[in-house]
Amino acid sequence: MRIVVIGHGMVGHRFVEVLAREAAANPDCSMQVTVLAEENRPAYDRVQLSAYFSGKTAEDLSLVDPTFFETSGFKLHLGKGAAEIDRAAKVVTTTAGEKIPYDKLVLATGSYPFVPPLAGKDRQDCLVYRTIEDLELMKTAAARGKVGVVVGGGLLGLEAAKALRDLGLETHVVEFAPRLMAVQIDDGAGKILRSKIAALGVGIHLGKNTTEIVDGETCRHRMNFADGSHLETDMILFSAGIRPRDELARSSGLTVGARGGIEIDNDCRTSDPDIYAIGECALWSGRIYGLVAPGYQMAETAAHAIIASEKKKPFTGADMSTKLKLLGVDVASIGDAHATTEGARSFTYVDEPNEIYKKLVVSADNKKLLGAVLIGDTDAYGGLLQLMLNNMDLPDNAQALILPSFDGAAAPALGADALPMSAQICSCNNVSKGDICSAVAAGSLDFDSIKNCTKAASSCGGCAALVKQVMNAELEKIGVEVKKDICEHFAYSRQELYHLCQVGQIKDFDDLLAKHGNGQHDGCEICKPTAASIFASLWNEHVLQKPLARLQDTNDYFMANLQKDGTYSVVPRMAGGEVTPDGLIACGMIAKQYGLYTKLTGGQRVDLFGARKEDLPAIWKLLIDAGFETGHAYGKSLRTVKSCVGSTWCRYGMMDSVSMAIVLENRYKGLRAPHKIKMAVSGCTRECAEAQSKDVGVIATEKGWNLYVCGNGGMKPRHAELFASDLDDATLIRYVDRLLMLYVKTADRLQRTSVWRDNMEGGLAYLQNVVINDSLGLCAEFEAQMQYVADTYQCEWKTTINDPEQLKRFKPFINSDQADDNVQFVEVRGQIRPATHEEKAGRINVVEMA
Amino acid sequence: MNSLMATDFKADQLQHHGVVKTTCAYCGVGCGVLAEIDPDQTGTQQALRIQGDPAHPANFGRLCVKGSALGETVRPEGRLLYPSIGGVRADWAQATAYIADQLHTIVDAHGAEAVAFYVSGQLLTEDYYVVNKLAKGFIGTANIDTNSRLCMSSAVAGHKRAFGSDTVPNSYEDFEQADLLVLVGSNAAWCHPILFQRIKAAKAQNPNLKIVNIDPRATATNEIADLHLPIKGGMDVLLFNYLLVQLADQFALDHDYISHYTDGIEAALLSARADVAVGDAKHSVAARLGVAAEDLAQFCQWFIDTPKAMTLFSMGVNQSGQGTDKVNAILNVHLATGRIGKIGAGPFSLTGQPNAMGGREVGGLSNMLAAHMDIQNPTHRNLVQTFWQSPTIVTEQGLKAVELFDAVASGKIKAIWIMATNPIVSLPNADQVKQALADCPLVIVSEVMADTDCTRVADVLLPAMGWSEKDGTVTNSERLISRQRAVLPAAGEARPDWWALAQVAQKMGFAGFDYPHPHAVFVEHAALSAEQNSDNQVRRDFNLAGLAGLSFDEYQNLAPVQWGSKRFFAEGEFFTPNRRARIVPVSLQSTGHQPSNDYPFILNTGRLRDQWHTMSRTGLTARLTRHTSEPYAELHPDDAAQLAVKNGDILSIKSAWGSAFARVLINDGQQRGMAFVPIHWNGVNSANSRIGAVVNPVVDPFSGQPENKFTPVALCKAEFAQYGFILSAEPLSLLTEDGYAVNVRLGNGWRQEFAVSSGLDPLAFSNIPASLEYHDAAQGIQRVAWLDQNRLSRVVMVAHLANRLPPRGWLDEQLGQPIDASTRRSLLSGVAADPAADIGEIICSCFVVGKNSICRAIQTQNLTTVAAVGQCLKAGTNCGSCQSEIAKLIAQVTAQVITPADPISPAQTVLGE
Repeated sequence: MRIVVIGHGMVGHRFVEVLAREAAANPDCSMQVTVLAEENRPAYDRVQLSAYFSGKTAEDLSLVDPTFFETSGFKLHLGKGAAEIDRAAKVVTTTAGEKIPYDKLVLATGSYPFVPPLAGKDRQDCLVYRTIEDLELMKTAAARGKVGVVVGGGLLGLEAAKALRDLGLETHVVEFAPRLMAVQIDDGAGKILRSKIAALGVGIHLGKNTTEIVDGETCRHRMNFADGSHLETDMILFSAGIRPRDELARSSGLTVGARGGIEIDNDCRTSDPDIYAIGECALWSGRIYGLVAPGYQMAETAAHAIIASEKKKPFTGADMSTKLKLLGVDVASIGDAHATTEGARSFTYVDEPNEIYKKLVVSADNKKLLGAVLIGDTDAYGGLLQLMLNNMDLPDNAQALILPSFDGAAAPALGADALPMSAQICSCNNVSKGDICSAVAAGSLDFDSIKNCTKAASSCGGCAALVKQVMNAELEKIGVEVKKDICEHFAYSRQELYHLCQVGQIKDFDDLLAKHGNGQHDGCEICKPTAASIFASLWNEHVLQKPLARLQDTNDYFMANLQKDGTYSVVPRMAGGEVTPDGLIACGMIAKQYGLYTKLTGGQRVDLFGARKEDLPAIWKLLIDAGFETGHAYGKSLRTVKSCVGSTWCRYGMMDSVSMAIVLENRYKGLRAPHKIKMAVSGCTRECAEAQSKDVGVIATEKGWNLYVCGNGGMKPRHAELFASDLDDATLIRYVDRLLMLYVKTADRLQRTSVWRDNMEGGLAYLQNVVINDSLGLCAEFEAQMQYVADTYQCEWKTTINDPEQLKRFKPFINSDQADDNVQFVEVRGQIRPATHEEKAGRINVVEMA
Repeated sequence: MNSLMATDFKADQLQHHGVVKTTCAYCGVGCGVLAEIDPDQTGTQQALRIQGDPAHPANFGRLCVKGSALGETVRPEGRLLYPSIGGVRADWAQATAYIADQLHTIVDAHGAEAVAFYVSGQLLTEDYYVVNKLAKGFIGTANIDTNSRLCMSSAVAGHKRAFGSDTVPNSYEDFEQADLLVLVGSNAAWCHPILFQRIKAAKAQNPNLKIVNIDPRATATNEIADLHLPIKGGMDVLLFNYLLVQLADQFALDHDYISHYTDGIEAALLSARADVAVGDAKHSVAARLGVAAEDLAQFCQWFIDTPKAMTLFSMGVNQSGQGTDKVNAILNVHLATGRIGKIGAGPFSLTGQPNAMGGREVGGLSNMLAAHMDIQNPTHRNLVQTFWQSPTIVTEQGLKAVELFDAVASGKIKAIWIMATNPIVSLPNADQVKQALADCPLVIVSEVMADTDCTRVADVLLPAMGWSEKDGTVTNSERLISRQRAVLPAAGEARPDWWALAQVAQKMGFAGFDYPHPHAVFVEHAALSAEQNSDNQVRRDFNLAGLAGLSFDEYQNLAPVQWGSKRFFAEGEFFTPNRRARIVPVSLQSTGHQPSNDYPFILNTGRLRDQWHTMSRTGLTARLTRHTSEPYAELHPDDAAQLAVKNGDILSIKSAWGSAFARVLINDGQQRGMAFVPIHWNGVNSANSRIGAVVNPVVDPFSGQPENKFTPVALCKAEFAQYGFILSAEPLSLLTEDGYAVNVRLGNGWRQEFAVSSGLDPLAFSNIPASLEYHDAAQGIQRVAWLDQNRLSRVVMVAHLANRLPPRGWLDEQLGQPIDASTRRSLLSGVAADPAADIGEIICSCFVVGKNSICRAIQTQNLTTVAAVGQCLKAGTNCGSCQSEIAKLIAQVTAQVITPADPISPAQTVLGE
């Protein structure tokens, strides 16, 4: 059978993949498949286009296995579209003039971006956002401009805005409707979404009807709006919706809809029984589906209709629910988000300061979920979607789905158990709960193999959490222990990830995500810093070195501790609390010069508060010139080693605690760990250094050092336990090396040693056995790794101030060197403190606009 | 003495350092308290550290929850700080001169009877003495009555009829010696917790001790009862007449005692037999009383068989249209068996107020003269006038409380001085009282708190020293005189009441009021009691001769001392003219108003465990509002079903006199046809829950004590358009005048519960944007929370139906607290994400132990006894007044009637379904 496919986008490629699968499964089936691709590259992931600007290459985005066409024997013509269809002769003529006969023809021509017909729309750098070629044009345009505007505040428009932002442009979104994502979300959600996106520095202009584009004064263009206002920009990206590519169908006399789109039936067949249409060019029941998941469903339907009718599953419409991250904001929309169903009722939950919005739309009888909108917290998406898709009865207290434990009742179970076997878990790949359960039964016992086996969560990844839930529920049923995954992107515990990184020599996040992550999402604020910490522990590279920098949280990103008013504190290292008079004078001079609030910390060093981000490099330059190093007060790493003055001065001191504290601090400074580490050394049992409240505490006795471990002050105090007694210097350090490495390797993220110890099976005895008796045979490795960390230590600040590229990030505003005047101080006891909200209200400079 | 300035008082108080021995401000048990300024709490958080005084003979170191919380009620919040005239601030000299001048004018124009005083059992003996002296001896009006009228005036009248004097014949220690204790009309477990604990301890010591509880309701006191006789309201006379007949018929009368020391047994028996004989076989006495025949028989048999029997009676007896007869019916059985003033045997009146007895001693009631002397007795009048060297002495009884306010209403009384009490809340037909005071030409109010129902109608306001500031003596139910002492300096310009009275007296030109110190008042009072007090002179029971010579220092250091002897009347020696007791013939009377088709239910009123009177003090501390935070009406389950109401619904209670709202609380310990409502809520903290407005103004013909236990009412469910509550760090004014609204003090602010007939927009409750919102338009549910610097500053939740509101307990505790991420998520659901964080409604107020915690402990640790719960959680180990509730919880959890997740309790009235 000769099958010709016109178009090699995501849906077209999915279609040929299904054909290839069927062909492989059924060797008797003989097929000649020809694919015409208008673009010069095989199918790629258009959904993830904006990743192109955050470092992904066209190859990364490709959806086609390099060996696919070779293996399948299918023919792909790149750079060749279809010019004409002769339905009578069943021949397609390509743009190159070739004639390709077919038995079945599949139109997967997709859509084109709609550009509103307004004057000036064809000016230079007025672009659309659809293909990789478009991205290249954007890159060029961005290079010669400072400001970019996206016309269209829908889903694609916001994706495009992210692209502009990633290109370093001052970014604006202009939308005709009074809210963002008008199709998917309601007013309340739009309000929250708007404020979240605006907070990211993206200008949002709603209810703006662009009338013309003319020459600008400060920028290349000026967009004039119907309300008389205007906006200047160097570049314009139209993202105002899509139109189906149906011109070929029209010219060949296929039935098309009044407003475009090739009409298809439930088998995706057009008005010509031998011609099918799938994806965004197809019009089913008066609707065009602009999402990839329904396109994939059509691809499956059409492929099976053509070659394996026994597997044929009619296409009967698709759910348009979406969950995505737009400019870092979680957004989800399910079903009847606008409560347009007759009698529909809605519950709304708003957490304004945290910018969380949740709305449920339920049927008049309170029995069924009709729709939902979630902004800021989309955890409930998977469960809610299943409730709606499977038409399941709502629990009595449906409110509890967005308000936890409403009126004291337990939150209703949305667990995997409640779902019917037919529930579709992954709509991109049409994987049902039953499919996953079968896969588990057939021996797929971890997420990766489920993903490989069923393809679930392998496209958009939005269902990863739910897939895992179903899998875990099944695993539990068959008695397999369920793992503690750190987040939806990695089905591993921190300890496992650590090992994966170590064994695989993985040094960057994309590599880790590609090899061991789920879906194609970008990671989150849980897995990124965790990975950064693991990389730091393992490889000890500079935290701001690309590509590590974007993984860090704010403290690590700026290598300073963010304070409540947005300023930072600076803590130079003073090992063991020892500081020279010159050092103190230097601190004082610097604090004075920059007007910093100065306080001694509990860890025996000087903390300088109130530094502006932009001043951090200069302050550190002075500190480093004065001989200081970074104190890592911002890091999940060794903070301080506190000490008493010890035998050098004290009448009671048994040993030189200060020297030991300095040795320890210098050895472990820079060690990145699951959480911060504090140590102390006391020169005698009077314990002036309070070593028994520290992760590592050392107390001198007549016979040597006593080592205490896993203590904690802070939120939940825990007394350290005596680990070993009467140690000499070398043994002490050996034990601490081993203990810390074991902790670094095995603790969960943000787990202090105290909690780590409390959760440890076998308790202290086990720990002693591993560290002292080397019961695992790992101690040599631990020591070597710690030695590596010590040997590769670098003062992160010293490196930073010498790297102009890294210094850029400390500029207050991307496009300006002006200071942030939202930072205000008040003087108390001769020093500054942050102004309160009220104090600020009276102080901020208000500029009158003429 | 006009020169006595604020500094003098402060100097006086500040001489105390460290722990001060004083006496509790609440009930008539009169517990000793050790108070000390809490150095950790200053400014608006000012508080005292409070402990029971182990050396005090009333309580031996124990305190109930109200007493334990005294230290939290002395904060400056809400205090009346300076005098005012017509709403304009004045100084003391101006205010007292104005009063003196006005009183003169009124007396001149309308006679002395146009001036009235309405005082209180909260006053110290010294205050009480001075006000009586001024009224009865100088101004010349007997129109001085006290809120003790509402408390034990029937006991006074009964005592006087039987003994010729108002003498309590026994002491507390007799409770511990008795073999039978009969409690009548007393929920001692809640109202006299420390005595209840003593009784409970005695029962544990003496297995033979039987306890009978006579009360229409099954209250917490039933915990220790061997027998509960739930007689119908108002039937006490029949019960005791029946007992008297049984004693006679079973030859159990003490003819020896009767013949030597009493008169009137024949007539009394005749009257009793006539009472008993009413009716036929179908209407046996037991049936008429509404109790099982065998229970009635059991009670009589125990009484007949037990020589060491005591009858402890309280408001259920006294607050009645036939209160005095009830008292005498009780006294009769004791006199007729000679069981009086003997070890472990005698009748005993449990009084309500800290100084009800002191008030009786100074003649605080309008029908008494000072020092247990009578107005009608010319010898007494002459003795007192001579002693006082006063220009006049009243010759006729004055008006009793209810009549007194009738006279205010009718305009006969033109000036009234109200001290330390709130008649707009506590008197029957209270709306009329309110109107009367609003119309009265001169209303002087001496108060501790700035905003009460009475201060709102006052013309002249005088700031009074409160407990912990004032200095003087009180007398408890067993005639024990104890010192109340100052611990804290006076708030603002607050002064002792005796001082304010003395100032006015002096400005009116009267001599004999230049007291430098309460010591001077006390020794004068003691001297008057001793004046001509011997057999051949004017013999009275009350004689403080031994204390009349107290020096200043001796007074300051006075240890608790009981006047008279431990017991009276074992050998007769009554204070009647012939020194014989009168056995008074009494018969069951149908007094007051009976239920009708329009008003088919009976309203019964009473007290709560953790509140005191009109809440101006106990309402200040969250510790005491957490047991029961809203007014409720207890209904029998069948009545609730008939009325179609559920727990937490708002009930409209209407009588011919007024109306009120309260939450429904279904309790099978309640009798059918009767609704019980607590007396505490006032017009400042509630919109329409002042139950006094509903109570009928029926009084006992002898004592004038009002019938607070029997008012015919109509009940129905009150429907509102919107139900809700607000939590606020700031005080809240009441949201509605005609709907339901109650303000509740929380640890970090206030909660207002409300129900209104047209909806309010919660977002309008603050002009700053809300932090969290939840909306469900179909059910009218809106929940909004405001955070300020990440602390919860305000919450508003409303719904069309009351049962769509979440529970309050956990939310109450979050107010003012920093809110972490998980709390934030569950904030609008009103339920802690971690169930263990929600301790539930407070059962043990002393240690703040909640119902949920107790239920969980019972379930998870298989606790089976109250002691085990105490060991585990400390609950019930201080004052013990929650022990019966804990016992009930153990039973319920064990029987799986409730689980820790869904506890039911009185305090849960607000929760709805």
